[in-house]
Amino acid sequence: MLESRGLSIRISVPYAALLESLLAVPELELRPAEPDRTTDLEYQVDAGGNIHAGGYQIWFGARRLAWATTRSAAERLLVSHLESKLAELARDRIFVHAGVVAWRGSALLFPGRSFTGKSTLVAEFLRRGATYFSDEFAVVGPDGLVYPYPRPLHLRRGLAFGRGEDWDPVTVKPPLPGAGIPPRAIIFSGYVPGSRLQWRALSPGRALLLLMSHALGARRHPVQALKFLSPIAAGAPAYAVRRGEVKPAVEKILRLLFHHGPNQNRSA
Amino acid sequence: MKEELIPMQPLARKDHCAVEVVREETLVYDLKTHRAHCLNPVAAMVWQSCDGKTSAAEMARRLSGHFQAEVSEKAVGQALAELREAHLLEPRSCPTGATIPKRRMTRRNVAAGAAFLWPVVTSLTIPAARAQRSLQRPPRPPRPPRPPRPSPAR
Repeated sequence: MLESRGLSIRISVPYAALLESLLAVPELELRPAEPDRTTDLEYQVDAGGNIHAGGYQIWFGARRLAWATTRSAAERLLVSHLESKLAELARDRIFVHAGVVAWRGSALLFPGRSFTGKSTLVAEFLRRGATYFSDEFAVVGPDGLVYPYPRPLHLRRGLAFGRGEDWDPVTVKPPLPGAGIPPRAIIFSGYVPGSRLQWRALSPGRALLLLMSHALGARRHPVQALKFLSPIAAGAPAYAVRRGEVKPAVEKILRLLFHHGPNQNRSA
Repeated sequence: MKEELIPMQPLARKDHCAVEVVREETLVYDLKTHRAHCLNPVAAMVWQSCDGKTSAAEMARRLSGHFQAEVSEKAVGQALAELREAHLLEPRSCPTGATIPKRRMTRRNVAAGAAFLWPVVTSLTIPAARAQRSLQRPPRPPRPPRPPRPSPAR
């Protein structure tokens, strides 16, 4: 029996190394728990999952999730599903699907679905000296602060990050668990090849609406999600951005956010 | 064009709704349909005024006082139309097929500087958690080899 974020998880595995691997994944925050607890999530991994080709079958409760050919594939699938479930069910935090960097002591959030270029934005900010917080979830606490999500930066093959530079994606280590920081801006960006930067301010209400649509637990705990995300939407300016190439886009975002306007946060 | 009438005393639907006020806007989450609605200040105030007793004309008067600018009955009618479309009004107080003029914000309204006094309801369906992330799909298991076809008898 394992535990994470107040949820108890029972995982039956065909070999002990899989359990050890899961415990070593920092973003899952798994730790051993008392065996007599009520189970919130139940997984089972069966070896010899396919009668013809072997492999592993992964079960979530009574539902078969997937079939994996190798141990590593089985582990990846299990981690991915656990990550989603823990983010969805967490009661003490809300997980918004977003990239996050810390810039001058406050957080820049880039909520977005997969393949919208948020990881590329995060990578470009890191190149310019920002601190890495997350490329998967913005973790929002009840205090309205944004917390780091301890997962290394993943970029899909073919993205511009690291191309011709002295950066290697695997070297972007996960941030250490630490104190939360206030949000500075929320940027809902979309990548359109060849597009110049188009920038539109969003009202706090619309920002909250969009944040809700990217929050994993919004359907399960809507009242809590509204309560947690409302201070962020009310306190940080939000923008809808359509961008082309990442470098000019980031330059302009930084110029607009930090070199204009009356409330600049240069000292943080 | 036939002018439709505005229902006299609409009633806001508040059951199975989670409500959060963000500055002057209101976000209403429909717990049944998992649709979230962002009501701009005018739409929010109209919705809050829908107590089953207040008429549209009275709402227009109240809104005009609150915003210190004239809010027309047409604007209130538009707000009621949008609220009804978003299922934020009790159907009994606002029967289907009747009564509310359905107008979209026109360039003329905006040009007249009335945009901020025009009701807007923005709605979005909140996706299920599994739709939020791109999970790596595992490869399909290989199909078992087909048995060789029997050679045609010669």
